[in-house]
Amino acid sequence: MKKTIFLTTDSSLCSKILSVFFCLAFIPALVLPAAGQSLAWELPEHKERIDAFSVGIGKSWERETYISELSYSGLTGSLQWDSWKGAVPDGKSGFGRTHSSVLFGRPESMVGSRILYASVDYFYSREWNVVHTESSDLLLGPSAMFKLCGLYDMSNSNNTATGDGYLSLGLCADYVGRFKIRNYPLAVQVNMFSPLIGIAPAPNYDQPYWFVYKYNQYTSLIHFAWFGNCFGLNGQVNVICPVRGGSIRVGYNLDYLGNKLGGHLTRLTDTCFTIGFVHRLAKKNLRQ
Amino acid sequence: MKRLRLYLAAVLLMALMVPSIMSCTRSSDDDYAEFINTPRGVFSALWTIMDKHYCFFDLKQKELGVDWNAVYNKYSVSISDNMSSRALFEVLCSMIGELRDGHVNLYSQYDMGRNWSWKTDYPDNFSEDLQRAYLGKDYIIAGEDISYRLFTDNIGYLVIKSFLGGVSDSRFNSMFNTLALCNGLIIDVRDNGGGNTLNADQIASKFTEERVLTGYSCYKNGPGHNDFSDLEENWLEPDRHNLRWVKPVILLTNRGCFSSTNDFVNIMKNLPNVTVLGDSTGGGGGFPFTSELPNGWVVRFSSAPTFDVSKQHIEMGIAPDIRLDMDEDDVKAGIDTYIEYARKLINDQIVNP
Repeated sequence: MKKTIFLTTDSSLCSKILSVFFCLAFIPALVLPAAGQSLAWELPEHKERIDAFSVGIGKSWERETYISELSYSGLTGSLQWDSWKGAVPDGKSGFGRTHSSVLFGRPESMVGSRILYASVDYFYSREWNVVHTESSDLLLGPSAMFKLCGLYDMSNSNNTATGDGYLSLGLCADYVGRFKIRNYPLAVQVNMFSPLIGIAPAPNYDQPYWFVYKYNQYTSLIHFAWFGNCFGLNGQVNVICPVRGGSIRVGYNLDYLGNKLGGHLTRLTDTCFTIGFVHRLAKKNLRQ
Repeated sequence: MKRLRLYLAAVLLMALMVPSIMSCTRSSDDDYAEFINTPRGVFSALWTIMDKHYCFFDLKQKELGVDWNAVYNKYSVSISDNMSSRALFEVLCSMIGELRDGHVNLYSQYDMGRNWSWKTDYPDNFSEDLQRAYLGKDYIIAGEDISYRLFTDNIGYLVIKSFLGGVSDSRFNSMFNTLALCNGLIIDVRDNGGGNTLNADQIASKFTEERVLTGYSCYKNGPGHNDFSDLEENWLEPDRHNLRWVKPVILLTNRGCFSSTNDFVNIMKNLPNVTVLGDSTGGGGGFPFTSELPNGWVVRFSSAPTFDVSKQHIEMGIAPDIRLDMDEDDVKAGIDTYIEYARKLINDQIVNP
């Protein structure tokens, strides 16, 4: 007796976005000629740290059937901070890598209703340089990842808000390609984090939050998550241009979280164009 | 360099596989497919949301003979893609009205769709003018929508019009101090349509000295009509940090007692010093959830049922300990039958306990 009329599934939209993202990100890295050593971006030496701060603006798509059957989309703003630190004395084989960001938006459904949306994440990785050439580096390593998203619809009754995210172990990959255009040194950075196994919060189907509070059911909100039932991805493409006194970083960021934990669908996609600066903190300035 | 290209090619291949993996999961997304914004799409969305989330289908079938699949067939024929938005709203309101649930509503730019027959099909058993007259002009305000006074026969009269506002412990302490020498207390919750359940719990906790089992609750944990979580016991804890009332209490109820007030009556009925007097409550024993239709209309529905200590639904109302109807002659004479009967009960208990 179930009567459903299909419009589209948002996972197909995500698939298209992800395809475009990765193709665009990696194709330049494959085809651009290596132009020798440049000063655009070098990996940090031992106890040296590189920080990159960015602000971004973009668009997000949200579908969370706990609060509504509709999809929402809208403009978002974000702040990001990435850092790399040389972790071992040889300066080439071990790096501490962090990524954190906050994002806020007020997306709208196709019929004009709005929700509030915010997310915060912090990833820490230990990376190893698996490929190092004069013009490029490929770093891979395990990552500890925390992400929490909140959705709030104040017009709802007992399902006013919900939270999604994960606390997981995952993988991180960083590719850096250095090249020159007419003797002007540039660097392309492609980065990807993906959680593999951990825990994720989600209320159960129609579980009201007052129920959690009243009956002390906090543990029921925690679900075992692995990449088969909770797929997450955070990817960045950045171009780094050295300028007087530092470097400018211009990039594109994509974050996706999808799962059906708790019996309801979660699809959260954020995209942002970012701009910021890169600051290299010399080792003499760091605490020993 | 060749090695680098190989690595990059491998990474690119992996990246391209991700959308493929996600595409594989698309078939299972069909359960969550979005509806289109046409009259039939909106109709299907409403019917399906209710079918997956409403918690009283079995009860409504047993008590009211509502077959949700038959409801679909009945109203589906009234839907056409060229019907007006207003006409669609009327049809959808009629459809959800079959459930006769005060927590089932459809909100649109036209109106709030509802079926309040659980209240309107029964005698009022309440006069706001009389209540105002009994309260007089020098009543004391003990909170938002909460006021009281002392009757001349040494009986307290407490009116709770809503459980929406917060409860002030200090004002309740002050009230119990003021009424300390009274023989009993009449609590009038007639026509109280509910509010915040936690407020109802907080007030009820001031009327017991012991921890009392008052009922059970659960919630829908799947799309099937009988998919529910385990029952959780509802215990009323005495408010040990504030004054508590242990003298006789007469609780006045009518069909206008709904939602949180229904819960309040369900709790109070388990206390030994409380007598429920009047008409059955209106019900509303399911906590509501909300969702949205493709055209922006909002639907509210019951999704978490509450049960009494016998594990029976309180959705259809709670019967009083003493059944009473307002006497029309009394009303014409400016007498509230309920209040006078309650005063008599308290005085008789004091004289002939």
